[in-house]
Amino acid sequence: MASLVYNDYKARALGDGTMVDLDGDTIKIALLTSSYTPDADAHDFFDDVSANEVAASGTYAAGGATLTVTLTQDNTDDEGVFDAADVSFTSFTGTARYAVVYKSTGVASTSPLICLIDFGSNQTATNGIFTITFAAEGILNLN
Amino acid sequence: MAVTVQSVGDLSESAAASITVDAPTGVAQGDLLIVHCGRANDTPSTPSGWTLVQAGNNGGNVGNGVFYRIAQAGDVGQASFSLNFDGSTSKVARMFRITGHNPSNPINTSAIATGASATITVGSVTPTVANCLFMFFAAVDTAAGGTPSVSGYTMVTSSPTYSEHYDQKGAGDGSDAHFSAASGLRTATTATGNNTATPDRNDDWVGIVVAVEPEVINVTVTPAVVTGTFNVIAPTVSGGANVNPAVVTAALSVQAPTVTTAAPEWTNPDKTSAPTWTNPDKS
Repeated sequence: MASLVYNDYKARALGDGTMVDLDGDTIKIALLTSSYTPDADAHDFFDDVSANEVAASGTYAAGGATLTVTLTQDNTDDEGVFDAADVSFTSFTGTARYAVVYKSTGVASTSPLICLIDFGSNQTATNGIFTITFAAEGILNLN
Repeated sequence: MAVTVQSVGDLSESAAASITVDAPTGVAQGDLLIVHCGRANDTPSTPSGWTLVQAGNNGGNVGNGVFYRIAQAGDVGQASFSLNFDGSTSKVARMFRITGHNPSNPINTSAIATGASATITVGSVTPTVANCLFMFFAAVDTAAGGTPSVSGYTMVTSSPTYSEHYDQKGAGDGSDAHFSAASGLRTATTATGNNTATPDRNDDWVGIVVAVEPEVINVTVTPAVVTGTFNVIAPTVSGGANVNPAVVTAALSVQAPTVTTAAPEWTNPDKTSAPTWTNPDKS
């Protein structure tokens, strides 16, 4: 299963329902275990994935971390770039297969999902630092 | 990898200061070696080259000590280790080989308590990291005779499921010394509350609780960017750009009037003479 953009977010990006203001709303990233089965069609809010979230450990708390977002226009590649500062969880013990990016309203059932990042395999940290270093092209591109 | 007891050496015993302690199987460089010594009467001393975790005695009746060492290249393949715990009282010792520990800080926390009662109670400890291997080491006075037996290793909060490794006394020179050990993996980082175990007698005891810290494993993931594409869908144009509606024709028709023919109106213009009737339309 590769990374994906949730269909609900695609519709919101076009103005359907409540739009997500990526650099204005609270955008969070949470870690999910391999027990999660991605479903871009049916999963639209955080409560669809939260049962598969990794356990709180070290500086990782339930719901994950808030991203420091930047949005830019890339005329070289003709795209809009959604990027954020890299994220680290210290004193962390756990195993994650996915990271889900979502808008947090504070209520899981009203927090829309944006995209899912597939690490490709389980990533385990033990009593250590779990770092997500986003690609140079950011988290999500629209082109 | 979780902190794991890989093997435990056989019982070794002595009434002299030194014991030739049987090595656990499979020792590799970097393994954590823990040696446990039960001693009659007094506190075992720390052997050279080893680090004290906890040691003590209760009333000069029973002693108990735990020490560790990170296995060096020269330790690999050794059948035994000659360790000096000092004194000439009866002693027993066994050695653990442990993997998955933090090599720079293998012991996260520990505690010791001594007493004379039917319950071994060691005060609460609070590990600073998750998934420590908790080890409970007990020693009970053998003076009352028989072989003491310890069971029911537990703690108040989030107790691991302890597995007992041994519970015995020596058969020869160590017959006056008893010790037992159990271990279990604990995920919680909360305070343990009292750590307890239950000997089969109301006698002197020394209890030691040790939390072995798991190794530090960092991970960094660099996911590829997720791409979403906006597509402009080409519309379907019907009929081309020129729309030619059918000509609407309005026909103009001349309606035939209704012709009413009047009866001739006869007039008599000369009223003074005999009428001469005329029809003006015919004139």
